[in-house]
Amino acid sequence: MLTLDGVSAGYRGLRTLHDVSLTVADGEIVALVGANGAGKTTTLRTISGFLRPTAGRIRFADRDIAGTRPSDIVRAGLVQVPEGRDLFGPLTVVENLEMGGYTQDAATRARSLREVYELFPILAERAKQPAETMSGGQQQMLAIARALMARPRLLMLDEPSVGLAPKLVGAVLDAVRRIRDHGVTVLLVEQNAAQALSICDRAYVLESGAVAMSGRGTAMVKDPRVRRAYLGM
Amino acid sequence: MTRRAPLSLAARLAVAAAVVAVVLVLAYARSGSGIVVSQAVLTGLLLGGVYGLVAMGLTLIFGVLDIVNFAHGALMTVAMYGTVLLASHAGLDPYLTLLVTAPALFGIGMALQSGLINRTMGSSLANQLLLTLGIGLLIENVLLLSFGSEPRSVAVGYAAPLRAFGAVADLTRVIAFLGALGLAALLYLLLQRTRVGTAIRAVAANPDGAQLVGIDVRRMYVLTFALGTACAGAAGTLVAPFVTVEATTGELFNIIAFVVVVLGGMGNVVGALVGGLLIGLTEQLGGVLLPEQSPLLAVFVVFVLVLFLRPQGLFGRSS
Repeated sequence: MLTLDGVSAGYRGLRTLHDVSLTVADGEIVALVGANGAGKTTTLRTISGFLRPTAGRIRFADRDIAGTRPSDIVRAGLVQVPEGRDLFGPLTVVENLEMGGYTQDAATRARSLREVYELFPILAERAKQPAETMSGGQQQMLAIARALMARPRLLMLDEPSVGLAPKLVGAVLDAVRRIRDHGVTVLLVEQNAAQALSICDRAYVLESGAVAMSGRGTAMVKDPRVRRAYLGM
Repeated sequence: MTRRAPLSLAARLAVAAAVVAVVLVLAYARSGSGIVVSQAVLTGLLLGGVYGLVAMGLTLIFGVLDIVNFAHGALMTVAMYGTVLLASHAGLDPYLTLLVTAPALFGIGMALQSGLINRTMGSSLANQLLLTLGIGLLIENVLLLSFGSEPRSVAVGYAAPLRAFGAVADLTRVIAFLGALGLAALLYLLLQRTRVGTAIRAVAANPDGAQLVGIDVRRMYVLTFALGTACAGAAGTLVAPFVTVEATTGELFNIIAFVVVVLGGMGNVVGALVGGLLIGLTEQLGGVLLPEQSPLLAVFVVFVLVLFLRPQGLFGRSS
């Protein structure tokens, strides 16, 4: 569904991604793990259209999307939940969700709203509350729900568990699994490699802006190099 | 544009009301005449409504685009001249020209944003500042070149003085006030109740987040600048019947609108309207308290006090 082929990118002439190739197939959960500064967020920002790749091709659903504007990439069905969430703080929860469905028609928005309320009942309770007044975990759920409102075919999550209490990390990852069960493909970026590897089908390890390793999640957990470098074992 | 808990908003309104009450008492003590005070209050509120509308446009542009628009006043003047021409040459009722000037200024705003200002978005603040300042100067001088330096005025056939509490107000000022309030309410409803208004607020809250949900942020910038400019245009037409129209008339409104925007909280649309009324009162009551000084003195004293005591404005959020 998504293919990166030899993608390089960077900020202000500083190249931070080198020749990254990866694929995400329909219905998979693919994890992208690596240390701080390994290029995980840069990879997602490049796919989302915030950064233009300096080399390589990005194909999504049989279309070359490199250089396409972020808003058009959302319309194509590729939606990102960014690190830091980028919620509309002063807007209410329901307004955030309505905006999440900005690219959809009114009937679809109403249907999606029911579905995300089912997935995250707390959001229905807090519908009229400004997003910025909610707890970190609730904001993360809102960020995921807002992305789902765009009816993505592929959902990209950037560090959804960062800053959350361990109990909430489990809840968020559980939600990710349920989202995949609803037919949405997931590309998950995590620093918390153990959690990410435990729920993904396949994983890529990024080191210094390049793919260092890739394989099935269950195999990676057993790989001694991964265990030493990322799982602290 | 921020939503606040009702209690804290009420508390701040109460503080504002207390300050106004103290000033009223002082003004009464100073002038010794109830009529002088009520006249100042009436004139101040009526003009303050227009300040509010001008400032709403300015604060909307600031809140969404992060641009301090120095061309706002000059664009307001364009609408004044539009009304002068349409009223005196085409014989239209001055208030009917609103149907021409507001959409025309909306269009000019769209053209300015999409043609010029969008190119500077994301670059340093100084770039946009110089650009809007340059646009403002250019407009003023083109107006000067086209219409000369002779002041123009718009005659309203049915202008008549109205009386209330011993004070007198010209009908044109009452119409301007009601018109400004009506348009301010429309703008507020547009921002709060419509999808496109919510999208504008979303862009103001988080431009990256707006792109991530598929909002075309540049288009929202164009729309917002156009809406803000239309506010200035509508205000220009509303005041045209009681100001002398010159190439620089809008400048004074621009300066006052800056003070109002800071007072109301940068980017806060409701704050701009309340701030406009307060500054209108300040200007007139300042004239009563300090009769030998320019009425603007009091406005700038308030401006400096706000910057010192509450730089985020009466209704702004601390950042």
